Amino acid sequence: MFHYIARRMVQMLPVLIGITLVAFILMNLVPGTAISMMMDPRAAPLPADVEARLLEHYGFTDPLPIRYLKFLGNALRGDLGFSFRFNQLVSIIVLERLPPTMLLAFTSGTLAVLLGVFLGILAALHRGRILDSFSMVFGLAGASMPVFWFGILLMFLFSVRLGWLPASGWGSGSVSHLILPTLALGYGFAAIIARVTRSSMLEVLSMDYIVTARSKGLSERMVVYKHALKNALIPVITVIGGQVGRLLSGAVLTETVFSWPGLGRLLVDSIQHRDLPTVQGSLIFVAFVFVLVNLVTDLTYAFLDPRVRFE
Amino acid sequence: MYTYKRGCLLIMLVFGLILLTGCGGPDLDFEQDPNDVGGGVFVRDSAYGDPENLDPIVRGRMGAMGVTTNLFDGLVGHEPETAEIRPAIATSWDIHDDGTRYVFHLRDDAIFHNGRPITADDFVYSFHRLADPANASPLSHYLTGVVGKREFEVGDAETMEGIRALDDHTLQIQLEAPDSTFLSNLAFPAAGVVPEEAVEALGDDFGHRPIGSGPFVFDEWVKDDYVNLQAFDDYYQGRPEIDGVKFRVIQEATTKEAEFLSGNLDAFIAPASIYRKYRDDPDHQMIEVAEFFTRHIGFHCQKEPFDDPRVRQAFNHAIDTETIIDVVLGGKGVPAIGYLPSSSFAFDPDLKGYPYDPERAETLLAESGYEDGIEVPIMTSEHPEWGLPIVEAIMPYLNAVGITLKPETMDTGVLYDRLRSGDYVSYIYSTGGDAHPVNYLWRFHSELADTTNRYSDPAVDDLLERAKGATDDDEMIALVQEAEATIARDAPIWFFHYNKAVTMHADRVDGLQAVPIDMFLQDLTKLSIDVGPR
Repeated sequence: MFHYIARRMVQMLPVLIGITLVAFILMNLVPGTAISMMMDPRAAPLPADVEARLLEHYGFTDPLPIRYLKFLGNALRGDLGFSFRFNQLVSIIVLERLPPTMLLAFTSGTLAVLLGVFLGILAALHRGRILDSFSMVFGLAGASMPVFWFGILLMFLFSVRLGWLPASGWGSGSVSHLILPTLALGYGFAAIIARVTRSSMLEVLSMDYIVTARSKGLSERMVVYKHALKNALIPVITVIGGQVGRLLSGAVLTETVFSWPGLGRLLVDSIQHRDLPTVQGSLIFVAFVFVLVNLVTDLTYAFLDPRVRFE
Repeated sequence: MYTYKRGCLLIMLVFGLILLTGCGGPDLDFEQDPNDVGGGVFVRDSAYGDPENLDPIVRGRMGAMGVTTNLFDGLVGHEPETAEIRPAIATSWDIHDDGTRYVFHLRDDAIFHNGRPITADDFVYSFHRLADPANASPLSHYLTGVVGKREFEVGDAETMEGIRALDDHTLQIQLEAPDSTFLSNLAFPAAGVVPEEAVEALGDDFGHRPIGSGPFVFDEWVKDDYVNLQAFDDYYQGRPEIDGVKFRVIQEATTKEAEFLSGNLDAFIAPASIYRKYRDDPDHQMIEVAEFFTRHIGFHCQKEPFDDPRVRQAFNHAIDTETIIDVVLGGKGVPAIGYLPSSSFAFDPDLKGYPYDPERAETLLAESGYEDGIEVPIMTSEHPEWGLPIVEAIMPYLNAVGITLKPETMDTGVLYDRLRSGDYVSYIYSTGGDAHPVNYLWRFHSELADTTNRYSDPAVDDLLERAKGATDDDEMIALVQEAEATIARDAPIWFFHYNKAVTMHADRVDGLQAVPIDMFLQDLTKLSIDVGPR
C-alpha cells in the first residue's frame, strides 16, 4: 500500500513538469507581451529604454529554454517565481487564494455528495414513480442550467428581493456569504451525482446477491444500505474524484459571479495579463491537487471493495 | 470489521455536516459588519478589478491609481473636475530661469501615516526611487527632463543633480528645458512622497502594506475581494469627513448592480448595459463626464489606402456617429470632434469635426482614385463599447460609400502589440494620454509615430514642442488647439467618441465628482455620507 502511494507520488513529477512545459509553451505562443499589460492603455507607449529595462528586470530577455529551465530549477527549490503583475512572490499569491477556494470546494462538494447520493437512492428505490421523476427532473435542471445564470437568479432572489443574504464577496468565510455560491456550484454537481447514483443503484439492486439477501429475510434497510449502496458507490466515487479537482480549480464562473477571491479567477486573470509566473504557480498547485484527488479516489475503491488490492 | 467501516462512514458524514454548517464564523444571523454599512464608510467598486499592487511607482494602471491617489500625496495634485494643478504638500512654488528651475515651498505640518514629519529630503528620496533603474518603474518617465536623470539612470551619477533640498521645507528641481507638462506629471501618485524607513523595512511588501501621507491610511486588503482605507486623523488639511472607504473587487456588472440594489454598494462605475437601463429612472443618481478616453478607429497612415488623407476623411464623413452612440451604446458616449476630449481645459469649442455626409465621402474616395471601392482589414477586440459590436454597426454605413471592412477579432493585448509592430491596416481601440493636453496629443508626435498610427507631420511636431516648452498657459493652450486642428484635418483616426464615464451612486452619498482624467480618481476628502439607516 505504502509502496503504491510512493510510486504514485513519484509518477506525479513528470505530470507536473509536463503541465508547466505545455503552459510555458502556450503562454509564449500567444502574442502579446507582459509589458503592454502592465501599462494603462491610455498612457503613451513607453520610451524604448524604459521598456528594455523592464523586460530585463523581469527576466524576459533570456532565451525561452533558459527561462523555462530557470523556472524549473527554482520551482524544485520551492520558489515558484515572482509575479510582475502583483510585484510579489507567486507562492504568497497562490496561498492567499487557497482558503476561499478550499472552503467553497468543500462546502459545495459536501452539499453535492449528500444531496446527490440521497436523491439518487430515492430515485432508484422509487423507480418509475413520482419521486423518481422528481429527482430526475431536479437532476436534469441542474445539469443543464449554466452556473452563472443560476447564480444570478439566486442573487436577485435572496439578496435583492428578499435581502436575506449578501450578494457577493467571501466575507472571510462567513456562513452567510457561503450559502449562495455553495448552492450555485453544488447544484450542478449534485445533479450529476444523483444521476450516476440512480443508475448504479438500479443495476446493483437487480443483482442476484440482492435477491439472496432479500430472500434470507434481511430488512429492506439492511439490503439497501449495507449490501447495495456500498457496491453502487464505486462509479459514484469515480465521478466525484473527477469533479473535486474541478471544484478546486475550475469554479471560475461561480467565483466571477459571486466575486469569490479564488484560484480559478486568479488563473484566468493571470492568463489575460500574461502573468506567466502566476499561471505556472497556480497550475502546479491545481495539477498537484488533481493527481492527489485521483490517488485518494483509487484508495477509496479499496475501502469500498475489499477485492481491490494495490501492488 | 463491519462496525468499524460503518463508523468511518458515519464520522465522515458528521464531519462533513459540521464543516458545511460551521465553517468560518458565528454570524449565522447575518448582521452586516458595521464596516460595510453606515458609520460613514463609503463602499464602492474597485473599478478596474483588484489593484494588484499599491506601491505608487510599481503599476501604471488606473486600477491601482484610484486607490493610491487617496494614500499618497505629492507636491501638487490635480483639481479633480478640471485636471488643473492645485497645491498639495507644496503650498506654493516659484518658477525661475525661463521655466527651468522650480522652487517648491513645503508645508511644515504634513506628516506620514507613521507619524513622522515630511521634509524636502523625503521628496529627494522618493524621486530618486521613482527614477532608479533598479526599481524598473513603468512611470519613471514622469521625471524625464530633470537635470541629471539620464546620468543617474545609466549609472554615471549617484544622484540626480537637478533635485536638491535647499532646506527642510524648500525643494528645488531643475529641468533641462521648460516643460509645461512637468507639474501635471508630479500630480500623479507615482510622484507622491514615501517614507524611506518604511520602504526599506518592508521591501516588496510595501506594495501590499503601503504607508503614505494622503488623506486615508491603508487598513486591510483581501486580494480579489476588497481594500479598506481609514480616514487619516492627522491629515494636514484636516481629517476627511467620512470614516473610511472600502473598495470592493467585483468583476461582473450584474453583480455590482445586485449589490447596489441591495444596499451594499454606495457607488460604482456603470457600463453601457446598466446606463441604458437606469438613465431615465429618477430614483437612481448618476454623475457623468466626458472621460479622457478617445475611442477611435486608427489608420496606418503609411499604408494603402490610408496613406491618402482623403480616404481617412471619407471614412470620417461616411458614418453617422451620433446614431451609433445612441443605438449601440445607449447614449453612453460623447461624440468626438477631434482627439482631445471636450472636458479638457484646452478643448477648442470652435473645432470643426466631420459631419455625417456620405456624398462628400464618396467624392473624396473618387478623388483619391478609389471610386471602385476598397477593402479594409480591421483589428478589433470584443469590447462592447469599442470593439466588434461597433465595427459591425458601422459596416453598412461604410459599405454604402464603397468601403468594406474585414474584421479580425483578437484580445486587446494582441491588438496593442500588433499596433506597435505596424502589422495592421486599421484597428479600433480606446486610448488617451493623461491629464495634460500636450501629453494627451503627444501620440501624434513623429517621435511616437512608429508605435502608433505612423502619422507624421512636422507642423504638428513643432506646435506640440512649442506647447510643451511654453511658460504661459494661454500660449500653451493656443498652440495645443492649433496642433489639434491640424490633426483633426489630417484625420489619422476615425473620431468616434469620448467615453461618457458614469458613476451610479446612492442617495446617502454626497460630493462625488465628475472626474475627466478617470472617473475612478475621486477626491474622497470631498465626500460626505448621510449615516442614517439606508
